[in-house]
Amino acid sequence: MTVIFLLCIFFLLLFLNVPISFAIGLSTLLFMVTAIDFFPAVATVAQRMTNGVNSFALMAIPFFILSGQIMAQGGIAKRLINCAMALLGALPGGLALVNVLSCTLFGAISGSAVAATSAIGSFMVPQMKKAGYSPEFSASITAAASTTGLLIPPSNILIIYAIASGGVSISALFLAGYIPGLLVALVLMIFCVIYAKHKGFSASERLPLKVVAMHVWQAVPSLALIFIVMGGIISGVFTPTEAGAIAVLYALALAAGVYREVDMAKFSVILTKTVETTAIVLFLIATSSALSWVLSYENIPQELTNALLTISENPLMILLIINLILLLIGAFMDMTPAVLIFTPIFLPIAVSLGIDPLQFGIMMILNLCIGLCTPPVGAILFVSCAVSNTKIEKMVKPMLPLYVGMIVVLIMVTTFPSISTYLPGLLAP
Amino acid sequence: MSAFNRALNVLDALLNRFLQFLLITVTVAVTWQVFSRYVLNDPSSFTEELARFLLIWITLLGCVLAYRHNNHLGLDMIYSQASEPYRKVMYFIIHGCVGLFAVCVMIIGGYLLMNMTDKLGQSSPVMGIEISWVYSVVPLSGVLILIYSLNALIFPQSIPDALEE
Repeated sequence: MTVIFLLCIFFLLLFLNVPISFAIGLSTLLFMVTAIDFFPAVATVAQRMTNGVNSFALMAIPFFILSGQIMAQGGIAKRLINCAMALLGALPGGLALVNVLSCTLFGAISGSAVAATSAIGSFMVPQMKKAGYSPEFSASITAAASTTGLLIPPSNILIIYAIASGGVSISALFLAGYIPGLLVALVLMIFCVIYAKHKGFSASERLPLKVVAMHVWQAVPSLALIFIVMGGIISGVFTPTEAGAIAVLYALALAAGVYREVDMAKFSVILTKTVETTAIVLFLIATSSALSWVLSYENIPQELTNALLTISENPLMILLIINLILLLIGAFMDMTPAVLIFTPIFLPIAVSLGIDPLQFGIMMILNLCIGLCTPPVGAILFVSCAVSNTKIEKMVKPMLPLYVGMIVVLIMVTTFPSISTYLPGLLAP
Repeated sequence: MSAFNRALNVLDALLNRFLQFLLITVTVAVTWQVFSRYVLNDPSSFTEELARFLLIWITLLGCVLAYRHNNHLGLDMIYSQASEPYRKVMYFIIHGCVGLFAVCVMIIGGYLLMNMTDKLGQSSPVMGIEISWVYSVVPLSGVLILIYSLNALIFPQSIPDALEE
């Protein structure tokens, strides 16, 4: 019964717009107070919170946020767009394809879908509009393509899932994200080609080979970051956290030293933004770990598993139910709190059915990526709307086929474990 | 601008500088960890511990700054649609809840936690830092959050807008 009380308090606070981290913390506290005395209760919550962030693996998060911020401000988006333009501009639907590829590359390097949407969208959407694409279509394709960066490593949300799952290897999870992330990008690109042919958009002029080579060459230093970070992690040269620190130094050397687009004033703003973003995410992790401690203390995941298993024992059926619940949650909740709250609840169910935690994590994150692009709460949708000067209502229609495409990939990832587990099995250190 | 407001702005700036310093320190420390392992062939062991402790400090003090700038994640779909009187009520509930959490968990709970580890005489294995010092940031940031939440409750709308994207 007290669980229902906990849930009611939590949702009440949530809908009143109390910050999610504080809403989680307060409802955890109230729940504890019903079980034990006040003083031990507050001390326990404080202890669980600090323990929750007392982790070297989590240190990777501020590093990847910082390197992503430096790259977003440091003229790297521009070079990636030029490179994508040189490669894909001459195909049918060229500009839309360039948009997808740029968002994917930038998202992969910076690890932030919101940063990809604003950095690439604010440049590509006006260009697409000039070429005759509607602002709504341009905004939609930017939003959908930006989510691929969350699946393609390095990615903070994958680190958060690894921590919340209590034991999945970050390196293996990083590898697991490649194929599903690229699949989403591929599906979006195929859609762009069909759309452009149908609407009769002409391709951009083919650039001379020399120019193509130059644009690709200029993007090499930016793209090299992926190889340094992932190469280092896969070969076991450094841990994901150390890779994060190296990524910061590399991005800084590139943006401040080579491109000269980040000075001291800009760097100071970047540091402050990084600290705030880090604190928001990690404070959420702190209060969520207090919550999941209370939940497992009360045996909630176990009871929920039993309840779900009475409905069906077919793994696919259970995954389908979990997917539907997550799609609903994703529409209302940001990705980080959703992963932190629901991983400890759903993962044990999946594991008891013999599902690989890697596959489950990729499925969950891909699912919540769709939620990032759906109203009423969809961070990426709002940002892409803002950079495209259009209205949310108008974006529902052009988003529909993109949702379908993403859901097709989600079904594939759910049904075929090897899409997620093949690369980690092959390469994981 | 009142003296109180000016004092808060000074506090903001101090907090900001201190956090920037912590972030740079931790980046250097972890880079040093890689460098010492591969170049010096003498892996440093204190950096891992230092990074973990600094992360706790960055999280809790950064949380204060994020609250000050109204940047914490929330579900504002009702809040943004609500009419003025309702919104006012919600505003007081929001900042009241944050203040309540700061007092109960961070100040009281954090103080108890410090006391507990102090009595046990726990210190960190590598650097030998007393753990109660690491935990002291819990009540400290609790007090800071309380100050800002009281400021928001007593002088509504004095919260600066979120940082520009």
